[in-house]
Order: sequence, then structure tokens, then C-alpha cells
Amino acid sequence: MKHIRNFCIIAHIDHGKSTLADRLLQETKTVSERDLKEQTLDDMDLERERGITIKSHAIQMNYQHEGQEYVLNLIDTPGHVDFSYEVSRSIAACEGALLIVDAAQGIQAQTISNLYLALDHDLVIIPVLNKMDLPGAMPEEVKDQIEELILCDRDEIIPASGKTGLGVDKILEAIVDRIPAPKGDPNAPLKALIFDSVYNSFRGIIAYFKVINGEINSGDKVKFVHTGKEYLADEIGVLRMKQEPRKSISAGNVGYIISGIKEAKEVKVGDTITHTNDPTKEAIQGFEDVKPMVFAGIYPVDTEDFEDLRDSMAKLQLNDASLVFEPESSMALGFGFRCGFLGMLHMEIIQERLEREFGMTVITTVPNVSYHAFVKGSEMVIVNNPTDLPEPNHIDHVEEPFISAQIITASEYVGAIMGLCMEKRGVLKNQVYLTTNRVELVFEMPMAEVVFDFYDKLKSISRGYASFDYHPIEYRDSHLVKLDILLNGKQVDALSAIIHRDKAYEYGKKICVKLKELIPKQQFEIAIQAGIGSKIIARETIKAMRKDVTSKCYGGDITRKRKLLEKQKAGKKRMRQVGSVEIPQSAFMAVLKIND
Amino acid sequence: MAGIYLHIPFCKQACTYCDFHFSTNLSTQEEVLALMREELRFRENELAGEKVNTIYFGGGTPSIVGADDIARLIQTIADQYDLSDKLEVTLEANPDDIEIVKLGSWKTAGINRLSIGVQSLNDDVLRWMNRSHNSKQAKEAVHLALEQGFETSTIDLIYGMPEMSEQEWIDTLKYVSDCGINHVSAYNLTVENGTVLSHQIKKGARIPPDDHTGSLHYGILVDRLESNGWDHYEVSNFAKPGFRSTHNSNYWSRIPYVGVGPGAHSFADNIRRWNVSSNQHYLKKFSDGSYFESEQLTRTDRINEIIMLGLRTAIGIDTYSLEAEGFSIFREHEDYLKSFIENGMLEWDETYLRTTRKGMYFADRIASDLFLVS
Ligand SMILES: Nc1nc2c(ncn2[C@@H]2O[C@H](COP(=O)(O)OP(=O)(O)OP(=O)(O)O)[C@@H](O)[C@H]2O)c(=O)[nH]1
Ligand code: SF4
Ligand SMILES: [Mg+2]
Repeated sequence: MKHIRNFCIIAHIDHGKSTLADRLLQETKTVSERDLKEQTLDDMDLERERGITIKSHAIQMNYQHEGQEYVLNLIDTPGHVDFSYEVSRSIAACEGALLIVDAAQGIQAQTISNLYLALDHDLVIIPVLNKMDLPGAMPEEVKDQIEELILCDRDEIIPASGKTGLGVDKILEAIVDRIPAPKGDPNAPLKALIFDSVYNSFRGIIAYFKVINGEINSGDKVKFVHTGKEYLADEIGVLRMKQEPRKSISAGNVGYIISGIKEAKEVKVGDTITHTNDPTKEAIQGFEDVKPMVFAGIYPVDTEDFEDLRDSMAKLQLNDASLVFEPESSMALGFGFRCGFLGMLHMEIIQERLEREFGMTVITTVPNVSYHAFVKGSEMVIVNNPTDLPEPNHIDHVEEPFISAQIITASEYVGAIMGLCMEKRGVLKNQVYLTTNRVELVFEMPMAEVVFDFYDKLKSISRGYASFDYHPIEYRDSHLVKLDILLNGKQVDALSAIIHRDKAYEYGKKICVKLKELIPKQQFEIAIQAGIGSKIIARETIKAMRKDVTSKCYGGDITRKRKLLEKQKAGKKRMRQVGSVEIPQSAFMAVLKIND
Repeated sequence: MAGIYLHIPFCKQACTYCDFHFSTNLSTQEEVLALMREELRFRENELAGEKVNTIYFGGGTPSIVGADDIARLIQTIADQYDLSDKLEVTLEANPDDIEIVKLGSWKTAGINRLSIGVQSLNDDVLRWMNRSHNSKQAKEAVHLALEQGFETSTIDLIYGMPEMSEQEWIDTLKYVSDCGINHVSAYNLTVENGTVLSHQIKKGARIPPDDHTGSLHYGILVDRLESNGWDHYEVSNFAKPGFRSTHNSNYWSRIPYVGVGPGAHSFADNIRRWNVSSNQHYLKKFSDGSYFESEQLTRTDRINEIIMLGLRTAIGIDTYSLEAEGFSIFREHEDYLKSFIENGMLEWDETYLRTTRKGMYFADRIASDLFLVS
């Protein structure tokens, strides 16, 4: 155990975690030169294409230092705020963390939030000043920031580069020298923490664990304390580039277990593995369930594909336990699912995976947060779909989730950012100058306001010099109303939204204008209305189409004309009908483009 | 029955809206025309057993090549193909090419119908379209052609330009109706990719034609001509009684035609084919037979063609020809057809399913609704 080191790599998004991990894998010869690529550990197609890490990746390395052989278990984590729960799980399996800071960008919002996650678990922090090769690197300035943030000695900060390999040797030495070996009792009853699980279509669910006490052997009878289920440890092993089976794994080390688990539900990350015969007395306190932050409907474009969609979602859930969904139906869209996501990026990724990995074409409705409606003389109702909001006269009040948002930016953008956050119903809670030119702003604001059109605005008003992080705080009473959209008097349920009363008019007007752009003319006039209850607050009209026939001279070119109409037919097949009005898919996401 | 189309791919100057195939490089004229005669001879068996009842010189601008060239092409056809006694021979002519001597030689060559590219009687419009004539020339040309015995001729018009007022359009149609011509084709101005016009619009130098103006002008067109006794026999075509064009009608009735010359389309034996739209490639690739592409129609293609073309015409869809494909349009689209017949868009007389006057405005939409998807 003395020779094991467990650590994770944490940072703000894009600061170079996965690239630095490549260098560590290379230096320790864990990966052959042939198998090494950029961000080797990002093995999902989507990760590779988007150049971001979505899931934590654990891997074991061997390292010689001063004549000793060490086992280093590395976990590379994602930087994006939607996936911060991945970071907290990884941290729970480690004694130390490499905190990577981009030397050109300095401390950013997720640098701080991820650092605090690590400090909460008493991890030893090794600060790494990365991307030193960049011409825009500002080592001295960023070192000041780091020193101030983690209260370390300046010379503890290791200058490095994932590009050139600078500092990689020093990092490996620091891992051995500064991070403590895991503490635990190899002779006590087995106690292992499940910190991750993955799905493999051939082998079922594979759980990743760290042994706290005792030892697990292949063939042991084990029990998952939380679920109470018992299994035979068919195969255990360590996580190298490939999974390598082992006879046993003992205290302090990290490994995987395959035990014929088919259902993702059976493996709860945070659960404790122990022996059936000689169980541990105290189970590990598990993780809190990840709570979805935004909800949206996902519907098959072709209504006949509903069952296929259900299967696809279920398979996707095996890979991604943070996805939640339940069936729902919409007058406009037919049968589909109300899905909960960790954030907007997560939603985008799920949609993309459904389309790419499962060949589904889906309509995603406008996302919303989860509301708490308090019905008069009755209990609270959770509203994940605006159409579920009870009638106004039955409602006592409605609460919505608030977040604490941290924004780090340069001082010249403070004014503009405050303006934006206030417009988004934010309240400034704190303002700290990290250095003379860098400011941390803390706002409390409704989560709903961040869902639309916040990141893009933040980015543009700060010219990209603002980073954003948030965590949910509590539900608060807000003056919310349900805004409905009607087409020729028929309500389009999938377009209803819950919105703050002061913003309802502006929003109603804008969405009517946008829908007018997106809904094609038809043979009759179409009235687009936005209403609250029975009160209409905005209206636009799409004039009737007077003619739909090309009278162009096309000579004998019949083929071209036929193909054109066939294309139109295909487009129409993807439309949805409300009353007699045909609505293209794009209209269901209209709100997201409301300010374009 | 069958048709022959000859594409004369040369123009004096390029009209801004035009995306037909043509070249303003006239130096290859002789070679191209010679090869077209060759192509006519080469493809004679495609119409074996069919009587040719229409020959059509389109373009491009057939009126800029010599009348003797036209005569030679017609002679080649007469030598190789079986011609019907009632033969329509049309030549597209621009007003500035129409003069008395030429008219005489065309007649001698066998031309009995002109398609006169009037396009507009608004001189500003003609100017920005970069047409090579003005409105005065246009009217004189029509007059002359009629006078010289080309009374089955037709004129081409374009509408939908935002700068043409309603009154101007009404006046144009009044002229057309009264001038003695017996056939008109009128087309909505469309902006095709790659044309000078589309470039001008992108740069903001021209107002794009809009839906509203297009449908307004179309409405006026139909109203005016119909009330003056014209027969609106296809979306864009109008004839005085007895003057329908054989050539155009053949397209809609899916009668075979051989198209020769660069960019020409053909239809025979269930195959649609189109020659390369490049004079150079036509010249170069003719000898190895790679100068055209083709498409063999599937059952779905045939059904969709019948629907699409039928709905554009006053005759309508011949439902028997659909039955012959094993397709019962009434079984397939019962509710749809019922409601469209009820609301006066379609009518059915036991054989033909056709758009009504009101329904013809929506012929494309109805066609795509009725399409079969493979
Ligand atoms: N110049 C330079 N570029 C680097 C260095 N390290 C990483 N990059 C680049 O920075 C970008 C992000 O690198 P990643 O390693 O994917 O960053 P990450 O922190 O893993 O990103 P997430 O996992 O999405 O949070 C890539 O384009 C890398 O090529 C470095 O040391 N120098
Ligand atoms: S419209 Fe006719 S004359 Fe004008 S460029 Fe096109 S083919 Fe030539
Ligand atoms: Mg990464």
C-alpha cells in the first residue's frame, strides 16, 4: 500500500487535463507510442469530436522512483460544469489532485469550484501551471493567482506543458513525494467504494471501485451494501489501457469488477462493496443522487418510432446514469419522453448520441427547470413540464430553483456582466478582486434564466473573458405564470412555458414573431397568439399563401421538378399538425433562437 | 406520337435571370450544329415506330443561327424520322431577330410557329434583364410575324417583378389579348442560383421578387385571359380555342421526345436523359458516348410524374394510367381527396382528377401531398 498513489486531474474546461494525462501515460510507458493519440483517454466518439471530456476516465500506471516501483491510479475528469458530479465521484477515490491552470488564462470559475470539491475531501493539491509553451503564457501573474487561491508556496507550483512535455518528470515525482499513500487496513473486512460504472454491450455493467479496507479476490461472494444485492465476483482486475484481470486487489488500490450485472439500476455509484460472509461494519456514506437541472421533451420525429426511442433511451441510460426520463404525451407531438439533464450541454449530447449511436431522429422541446407548485389546501406538485402546472386559481404560489453563480472576469467587463445578470433577475452577493484586474462576482439567480441565452450573451459581452460556474442553492417563491401559444385558437402544448410575470409580455411578443418566421405559409391565414390563462398578450398573423405552384419554364426537365416536390414531401412528413396548422420541427425549439 | 427538341445553345448576350444552358461564344456554332445533325441521325431508333408530330427549336436563341442551318436540321429529321402529316414546327425567336426576310426563309425551311421572347413591355425591366430588344421592337415583331402568316405563334412573358405595377401588367395582358396572337406562356420570375440576378440581389442591387407580387400578378393573368376567352390549359400556358401547343402538351402527357444538342432533355422507353450543359463537353464527349446522363424511372417515379404533370393541366390526371401502375389514388388518399373535392380545389369526372381554377394555384402542393414515397 505504501507504493500506491491515487490522484485525479482537475481544472477548468480546456485547461489541458487530458493532454497532460497523455504525457503521464507516455512517460510511464502505460500506452505504447503506437496507441497514443491526442487525449488518448477521451475514448467516446463525441468526446473526440468535440474535443472535450464528458466522462471521468481511470487508468493505472507503473512508475519507478528512487529504486522503488509505484502504482499510480490516475483519474482524468471533465471540466464542464454540467459534469461536475463526475469530478466529485472521482475525488472520493483519491488522496491527491493535480490542479491544472492554463498559464495564459489563469484561474477560472471551475478551477475554483473543482479545487473546493477536492479540499472538501482533504485531498493534497499539486498545482500545475500548464501550457507554458503558449506565447501568451503569463507565468508570474498566474502564479500569484494560484498562490493566493490555495495558499501554497510559489515553488510548489510546477510549470508544465502538455504539448512539449515540460515538467512531466517533476509532476510524477511530486505525485509520489507529496500525495500520501492510501490509508486503510488490509486485514479488516472488505470495504470498497464504487466510484464509477460503465456499460459494455458484451460484458454488462462494469463497476469501478477503490478498496478502502481488506482485499477482494476473484470468485469472492460479495454484496453491494446499499442495494443489498449479492454477486459472485466473476472477474476483477485493474484498469490499464485495457482491463487486466487480477486474482486479487487489496486495500488502497483501484480496480474493476464484472459480476453479471445487467441492469444499470443495480449499481449505485457511491455504494460499498463488502464480503457476504464477513461484511464491514460501517458502509461508506454514499453520494447524493445527481439531480437533473433542466427538463425537455424528446419525441420521435416519426410517431411510429416511439418504441425504438424507448429502447434507445434505456440503452443510453446504461451508459449515462445521470439521464432520467419518463414517458409523456403531447397533443402536438404524440408520445415521447420528458427527460432530465444535468445542463444544456448534457441535453445536446444526449440528443446527439440518440441520433448518432441509435439512428433516431428526434424533436427536442424547449427546456425548462423543475418548478414546485403549491396547490391551495393541498400539497406541493413538482412540475417538470409547463403543461403540468395546475390552474392559476388553484395555486397558492410557485417556487423555482435558484443557483449561486460565480463569474470570473476582467475588471473592465464587470459593469456589462452586472447588467446582464440583473436583467436575468440576479442579485449580486459578492464581488472579490482576485488580483487588481480579475474579479470574482457571485450572484444568486433563478436557474431558469441561465437555461436560455445566458452563456452566449455572457460570452459576447465579455469577449470570451468570463468563466461561469454555478451550483443550485434553494427553491424560492417567484411570480411565475404559464404562457401558452395558440395557433388558430388551438393551444400547442409543447410550446407552453413557465415564465416570470414581468417578462411574459416581451417573451410572448418575441416568440410570436419567431414562430411567424418558422411556420410556413399555408392555404389559410394562421393566427399566432400568446396568452396567459384566457388573456391574449401578443398576436402575429401569417398571411394565407395565395399560390403554391411554380410557373417557371422548365422545358423538358421533368426530373428536376419531380425531385423538388419529393423533397418538399419529405419535409412535410417531418412536420407536426395542430388543428389544421402544420408546424415544422424547428418551431418547437423557437424559444432558443428568440433573440437571433 | 413523339416530339423532337433541338437545343440551340447560343445567345447574343446573357439575360440576368437566365439559367438555361447557352453560350455567348458563337465560334463553335458550326461544329455544334453539325454534331447535332449527327446526334439526330445517331438516335433515330429511339423513336422507332412513332410518328413525330412536333419539332421544337429552343435555346439559347435559335433565331440567331442562319435559316439555312435550321433548314438543314429539319431536313435531317425528315430524312431519319417518320413525320406526321399534322406537324408543328416551332422556333424560339427574339424580337430583335425577327425581320421580313428571315421570316420568309424560316417558312421555307418548314417552321410554322414562332415562340417570341417578348418577356415584358416595360423598357426599364427589359433593360435590367439585359434583353436585346425594347418594347417597341417586341410589338413590331409580333405584328410582323402575324402578318407573315405565323398565326399559330406564341409569346413568352415574365411577371412577378416588384417594379411592374398591377396596371402595367393589366395593360400588357390587354395588348396580348388584342394583338391577334393565339398562344401565351407566362412565367413567374424566379431567382436561380448562379445567375447575374441572384448575384445582384445578394449584393442588394435588386429587389428580390416576392411571393405577394407573384401571386397577385398570377391572379391578374388568369382572370384577364380567361375572361377574354383564353383557354388556361396548363399552369403557365394559355391558348385561344384550337391553338394549344402540341409540343408543350406532349411533355405533360409523357409522350416520348428526343432532345438533341447541349443541355437538351429526352424521354423515351421509361428513361429520362439529359445531355451535358456545356458546348465544349458536348463536342468532346460525343464520340465516346459520355455526353449525357440518364435516369431509369421506377414505378414510384412514374406515378409521381403522372400526378405532378396531370395536376398542372386542365385535362388533369388520367387515373387509368395510375391504375395501370397498380396505383389507386382514391384508395391511397381517400380522405384527402374527399376534402379537396369538397372545398373546391379538385374535381373528378370518373376518369380525370384535375385541379379546379382555384386548385391550380396550389398544384405543386397538392402534387407533393399525393406523391408516393419510396
Ligand atoms: N499550447 C498548448 N496547448 C495545449 C496544452 N495542453 C492542452 N492544449 C490544448 O488545449 C485544448 C484542450 O486540451 P484538453 O487536454 O482536451 O483539455 P481538458 O482540460 O482535458 O478539457 P476538458 O476535459 O474538456 O475540460 C486542446 O486543443 C489541446 O491541444 C499545452 O500544454 N500547450
Ligand atoms: S433568356 Fe433566352 S435569350 Fe436570354 S440568355 Fe437565356 S436563353 Fe439566351
Ligand atoms: Mg479532458
